[in-house]
Amino acid sequence: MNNFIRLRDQSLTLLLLAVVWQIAAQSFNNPLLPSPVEVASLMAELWQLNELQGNLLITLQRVLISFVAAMLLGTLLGVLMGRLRRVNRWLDPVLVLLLNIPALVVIILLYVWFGLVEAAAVAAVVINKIPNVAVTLREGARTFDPELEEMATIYHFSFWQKVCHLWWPQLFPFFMAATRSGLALIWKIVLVVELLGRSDGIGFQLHLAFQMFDVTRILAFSFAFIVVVQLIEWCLLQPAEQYAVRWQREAGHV
Amino acid sequence: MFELKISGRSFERSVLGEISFGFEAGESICLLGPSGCGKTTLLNIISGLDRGYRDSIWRGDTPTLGYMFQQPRLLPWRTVQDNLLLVNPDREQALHLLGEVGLADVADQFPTRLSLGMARRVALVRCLLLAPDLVLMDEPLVSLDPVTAVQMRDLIQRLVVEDPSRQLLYVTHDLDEALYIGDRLLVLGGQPAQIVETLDARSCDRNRLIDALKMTPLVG
Repeated sequence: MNNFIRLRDQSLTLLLLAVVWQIAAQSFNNPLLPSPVEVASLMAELWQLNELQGNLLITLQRVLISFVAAMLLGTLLGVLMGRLRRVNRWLDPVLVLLLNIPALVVIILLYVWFGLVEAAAVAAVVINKIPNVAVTLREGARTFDPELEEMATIYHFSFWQKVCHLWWPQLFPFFMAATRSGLALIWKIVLVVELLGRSDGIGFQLHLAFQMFDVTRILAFSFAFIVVVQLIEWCLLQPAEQYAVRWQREAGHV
Repeated sequence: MFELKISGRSFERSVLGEISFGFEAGESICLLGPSGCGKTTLLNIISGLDRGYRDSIWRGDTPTLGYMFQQPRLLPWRTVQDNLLLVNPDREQALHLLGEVGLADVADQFPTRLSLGMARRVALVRCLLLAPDLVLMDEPLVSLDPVTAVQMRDLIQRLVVEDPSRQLLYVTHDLDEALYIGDRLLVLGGQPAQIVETLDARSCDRNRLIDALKMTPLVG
């Protein structure tokens, strides 16, 4: 019931936005502001020409690879910094530095040093994302329950039992927060990386469309990817989260 | 059967003085004393949780320990059954013991659904799954309502005290509880804390015990 109301309100908001956009586009009647109908029909056309799928897939691949790498490395770094005060003291300045370097600078430097290659593109995205993940997961690692830690010691938990049953569940909410903001941030950086130094993917298509001032095409490619990211959120992230926090929903005495 | 000795010198902050006692086979010892006198510290040293104390405390054999904390400390994100299997993968034994404490039907529930009394009983099962020679308990009846407390006390009596292969060190500040559970009562007191009185539960009456506790020099 609640889900239904939420879905209805969300769709209404989107519908309203589309209507406003359609009216504005019709009243300006300028190719620099295409109507949603035009954008949608171009999307359908690009899909039939097989231009959309290929580019979507390539960009999605880059997003997933950099996402997995950034989450793994960032989680490891964040947990180490959250648990070991010494590591935190040493690495904190590095983290602050990385957080404040503009994404564009990292991308340009890596392209200059390593050439316009795939590895440099992915590495640039990963380096941009790691500090955000590390900061979030560091907070998570700092909130570990010392009482459960003692329990695990007394009851002879092995290292992997601690990882899977003690630490991971406590990190999970922080990991999900990093995932959410991570996916959105990463795909935006991937587009910049593609625009600057790749010859395929959504970012490269946006580059071409920009040179021709083809706003309809820019919007068509962007919306296609927004839909993909939203589908990942609905079909993967939300069900995974629901499953993981089922023990909280069942709170309350028998 | 097991002899332990703790010397205050090996201890960073000397909350505890020199303390030594031993367990006869199957014996249950209750540790009494005013709150804040170092009872929980003593349990933490014996269980090895206190990092400040490094020396070996056992003379002769070292027992297998089971420590039942005051709070149940179950993993809230794992079901009751999974909590138990993490400690001992023998499912049959876990379910059998759950049945013994009257909780066979909550095996697949999450601990967040259990009342404190039920969660304590699960914690008791988890403790027994280690097959301990020596069980440490820190006020396992505290903040339970009277009926639940009696149930819990009887379970401890049946599963730990009456089991001849198990020794028990039971911390409490309740006299009746101590007289019911213990074969021998140790009274802890002073600064740094020492054993100020040792009493046999069978031969000692309540009044004598109250006197012993009153004699305890309180921390001023």
